[in-house]
Amino acid sequence: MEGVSAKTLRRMAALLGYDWPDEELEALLPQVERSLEMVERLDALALRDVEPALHYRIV
Amino acid sequence: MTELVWKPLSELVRLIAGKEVSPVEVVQAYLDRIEALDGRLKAFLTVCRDDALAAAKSAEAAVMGGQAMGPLCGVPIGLKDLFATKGTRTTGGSKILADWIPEDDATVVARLKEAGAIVLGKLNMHEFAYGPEGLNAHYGNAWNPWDAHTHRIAGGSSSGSGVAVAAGLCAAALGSDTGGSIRIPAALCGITGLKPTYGRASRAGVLPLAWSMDHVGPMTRTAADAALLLGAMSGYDPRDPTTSVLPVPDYRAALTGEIKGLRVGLLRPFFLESAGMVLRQAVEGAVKRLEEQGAGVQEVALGSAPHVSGASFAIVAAEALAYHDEWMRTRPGDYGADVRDRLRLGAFVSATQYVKAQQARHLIRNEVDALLAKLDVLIAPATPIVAPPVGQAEVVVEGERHDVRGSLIRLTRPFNLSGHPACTVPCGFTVAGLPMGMQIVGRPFDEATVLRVADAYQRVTDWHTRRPPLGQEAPASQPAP
Repeated sequence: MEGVSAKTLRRMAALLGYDWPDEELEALLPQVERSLEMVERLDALALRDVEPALHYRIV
Repeated sequence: MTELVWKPLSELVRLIAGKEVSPVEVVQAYLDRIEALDGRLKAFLTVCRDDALAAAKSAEAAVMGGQAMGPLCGVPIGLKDLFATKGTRTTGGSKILADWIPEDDATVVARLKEAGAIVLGKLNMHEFAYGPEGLNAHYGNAWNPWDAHTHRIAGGSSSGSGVAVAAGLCAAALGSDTGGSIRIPAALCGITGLKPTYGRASRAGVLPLAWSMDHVGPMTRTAADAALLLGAMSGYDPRDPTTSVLPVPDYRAALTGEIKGLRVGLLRPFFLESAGMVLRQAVEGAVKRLEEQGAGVQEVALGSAPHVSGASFAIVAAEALAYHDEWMRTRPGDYGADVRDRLRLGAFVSATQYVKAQQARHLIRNEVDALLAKLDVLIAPATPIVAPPVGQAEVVVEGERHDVRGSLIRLTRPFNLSGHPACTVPCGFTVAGLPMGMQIVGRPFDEATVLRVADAYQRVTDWHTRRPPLGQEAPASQPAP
């Protein structure tokens, strides 16, 4: 995961309207990095022609 | 201590219908046991003593008056404290909803009451269902009843449900399952837990964690009890647009004990391979028992399993923060630190990542469907580890260090993503006396086959009949959380 820093988290949180303490966001950084690495691995899948899952079943 | 509290649901109903036992006697037996043991176990957040006794007296009058009885007449149950209960506080295990008293019952609660069940109380849980350890910073941590000396986690998020059923504090319970929250505590507490197909049971009136991943289901001592409860609570509900209009079969009728010719797939890579040796041997032993009963077993793989963690994280984190958005702006300090951090992670998942996760989910679901086109059920461990002590952050499995949280949800959440029904049953105990659980996964809306396999296994094993070492000793003091 490149480009994520405590500063980035602060900006993103502020953009979303959350007033979360800097020190708590800094402490969260390792978890954010690990989590987003997991999500980025989804790019290895061939997803372009796959529709998002919808669970609503008409049966 | 009365043996009544260990009776299977169907036996309790039979005794009550035959006027051999009064529902008042049954409810009182459970209330006495809660009084004696729950100071330490912390399974209940609210005990509905007066309401339960009043309901029991009404049931008794109905039985004595020869009125028609529901299939659960007089059966005392517990509810994870995220099922709305009319007139009774529903906290979600949180400080934020500590004083919330709903005006209506959740649909599944209303259905169980209509079937005659009596609500004993509301059960402990991880705050807002966001944690597989089942810990609670606000109300205290449930105590896994299988270790009298060391405070071990019960598993979560339905920790109180797991403990209450295992310890004989209620005959059955309801739980919810977003990444394994029924099956994990069922495995760690040595009981049976069923996550039905997405859409089988209504989520209306149930506090959400992540709408597209949430399921509700029964937590019981046996598969037969789960069948009884599932039948009473399932079916279309106009209050939940995701429920199916498919008719609800008689699940008990499916429990024939016959599994000859059944095609079983044992999930080895990712699933069995990630479990510790003792757990692996327990599941392999269980599969052998199914083979001895005539099932055909083959080893299979779910190739997309390594992508489950990324897809699951993006979906749950984003949906959970969407639900908690207002409170995370106005009352972040009222969350426990662990849940607050998990909720904050959702802010850093982009819309594109969320949609990609739903696309990956489609692939994963298709792959499970493809396996089950050739097989009747899949088998895997429910968890790769047994219950660790409270506060332990890492475990060592086969010489490798893993974090407890990730390990607990690793093998259950694939089937929250896919929506397939999955049932956990106890399949052995470690030498230290800690239970181990096995998952049985079936085709969508084929809970009947899942339960048939679980029941057939329980007919030839006795793991589910074992009782934790509780006695009726005075509870030891527990430090405040």
